[in-house]
Amino acid sequence: MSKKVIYGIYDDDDVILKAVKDIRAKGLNIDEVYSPFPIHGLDHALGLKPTRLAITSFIYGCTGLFLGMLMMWYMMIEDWPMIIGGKPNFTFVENLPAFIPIGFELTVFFAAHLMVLTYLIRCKLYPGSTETSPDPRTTDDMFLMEVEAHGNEAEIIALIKETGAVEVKEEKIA
Amino acid sequence: MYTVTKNTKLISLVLMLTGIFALGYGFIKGAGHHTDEEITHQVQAFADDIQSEVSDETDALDQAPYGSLFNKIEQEFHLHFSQKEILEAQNVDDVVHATIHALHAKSQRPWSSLLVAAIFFLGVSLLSLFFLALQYVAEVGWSVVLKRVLMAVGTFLPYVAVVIFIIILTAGFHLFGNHTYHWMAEGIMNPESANYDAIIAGKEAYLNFGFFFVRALIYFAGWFWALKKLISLSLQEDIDGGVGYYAASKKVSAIFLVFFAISSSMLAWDWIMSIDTHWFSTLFGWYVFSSMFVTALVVIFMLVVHLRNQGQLQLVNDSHIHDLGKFIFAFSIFWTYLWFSQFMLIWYANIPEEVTYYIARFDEYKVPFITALVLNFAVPIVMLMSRDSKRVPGTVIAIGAIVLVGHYLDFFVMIMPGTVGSHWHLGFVEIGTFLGFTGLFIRVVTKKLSSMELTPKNHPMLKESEHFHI
Repeated sequence: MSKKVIYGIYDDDDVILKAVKDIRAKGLNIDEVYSPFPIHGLDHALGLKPTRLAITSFIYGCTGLFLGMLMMWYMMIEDWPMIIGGKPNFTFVENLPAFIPIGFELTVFFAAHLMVLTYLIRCKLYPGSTETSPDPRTTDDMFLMEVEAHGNEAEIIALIKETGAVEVKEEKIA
Repeated sequence: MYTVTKNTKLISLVLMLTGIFALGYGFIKGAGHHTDEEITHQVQAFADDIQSEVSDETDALDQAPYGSLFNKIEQEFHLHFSQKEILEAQNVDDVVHATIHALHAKSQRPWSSLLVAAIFFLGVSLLSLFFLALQYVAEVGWSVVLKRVLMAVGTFLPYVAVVIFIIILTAGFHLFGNHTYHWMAEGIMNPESANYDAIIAGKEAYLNFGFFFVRALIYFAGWFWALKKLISLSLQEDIDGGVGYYAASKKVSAIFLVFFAISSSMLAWDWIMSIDTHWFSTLFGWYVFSSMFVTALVVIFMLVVHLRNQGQLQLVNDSHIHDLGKFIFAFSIFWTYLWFSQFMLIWYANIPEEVTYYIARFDEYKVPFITALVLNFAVPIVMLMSRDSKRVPGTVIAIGAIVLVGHYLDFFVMIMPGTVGSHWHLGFVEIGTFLGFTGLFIRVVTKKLSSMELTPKNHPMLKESEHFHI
């Protein structure tokens, strides 16, 4: 049996936010919402799990800090000790204050860049990726809700219309 | 309407009495009207006594040639000398110097404790006013429900002013053993005097008592004006409504912020940095500002949560709490950034006149100095980083209490080395004075809070604040 999806198209972010809440309250699962801009509270209304991007950011930051310190240790202590400002250069700890700015910069550098890359990869936004939105108007002024149907198309269509959709489409997916 | 409970009144009263006892104890212990000449005389007499009693050979073999003399002075004047002072004395004159220093430190102790506590609460009340003005100028919506709390905390400013003026005047007229500001010492700007210090004399244009006093007057006048104006405009807005009061508040706030930008740096130079008169640091003003701001934010946070637990401020939701938590977190990091910026430049350049500041702190104040850094940086960055911890008021209050201790120590380490030097204590006098101030603060602020409606009724952005959600 082939699956069917129903697209409800809305023209107002407040309306679609309320629609998401109402439809989910009826026990139906909403697969995706496409919007030209972030809608405040939508992820909570959709029941999405909180992002784990912050955790990756922390890990990337720690990596950057460690690599920065490793680099400074290798360059300034191990490989080619240099006397700058009459400072002792035999141990890492005695030179630590001088390395903190570099450690800080690399922490920020790693956290920021790797976090952006992670975000792009997780959202499947890499070179050669294709558009996933079923309707190009969601990049302009329309909001689209995608609900998967399992033989209950009529009920879903009625519900979406009831919540204020300006247009409802039905499509088969293989 | 919020009413001050009996318990709150009792606690503040007990704290105030503790403060009075602590200060009184400090002053009685420090009192003892020896002039410098008398001390010199006395020490000389002791030295002669010892000379006749003990043979020269045993004394010369001793590691500390004046150990027995120091012993005798310690018993006579109830002093305590550090090992370093005892070992470094080369002749009787050095012993006389050390004794005079130690006795000055003793009479200075309650004054320094008072100044540390006053600066701490100046930070709380002034930066609360700053935060309030910031909300107006930036046209912030979320914080409307907190504005009355900010105003109430600001009204502690006059009490701080009284204490600061007492300290300035007694220091200026050399009363009650107040030697807080070294540059006020007699003859220090006079080339003929034995006390003459060419470097300090070169700063006379800025560091002279008249100008110093007038500056203090100007700062407080400017702050009082903004405080009174913002409170009365907001209270009037409750009655009349309309956006006119908001626009007027914005104007007052903008003027105040410009004034504050200058005066907040200058208060740090005047009341704190001039203690170490030879030394200067260009970012000291911001460093003090950041320390004060974190202190103020923690106190505001605690007050808001307390009021909410009392059934007041029902419009404050978890998002407001979260945002205040973010401020505490962010400005703890900002404080560390400035702390480190000041330290690293001085450490790297290694110029003698600059590093003396840190050498004094590393040598004699290692424990409070390092503890302040750990409490003010490591604790908030580890504990307050996650979103969840900032949304639980209990967690933020526990961490905030730790941060308050850290910032007390921070002010302590700014002020003590230049005033009491190696003869520092962190005992009943210091802690008691601080608790006394806390009691007065609780009394004044809760009384103010109980005298007004805690939510501005007709604020144009009240609705936005009510529905604030992040």
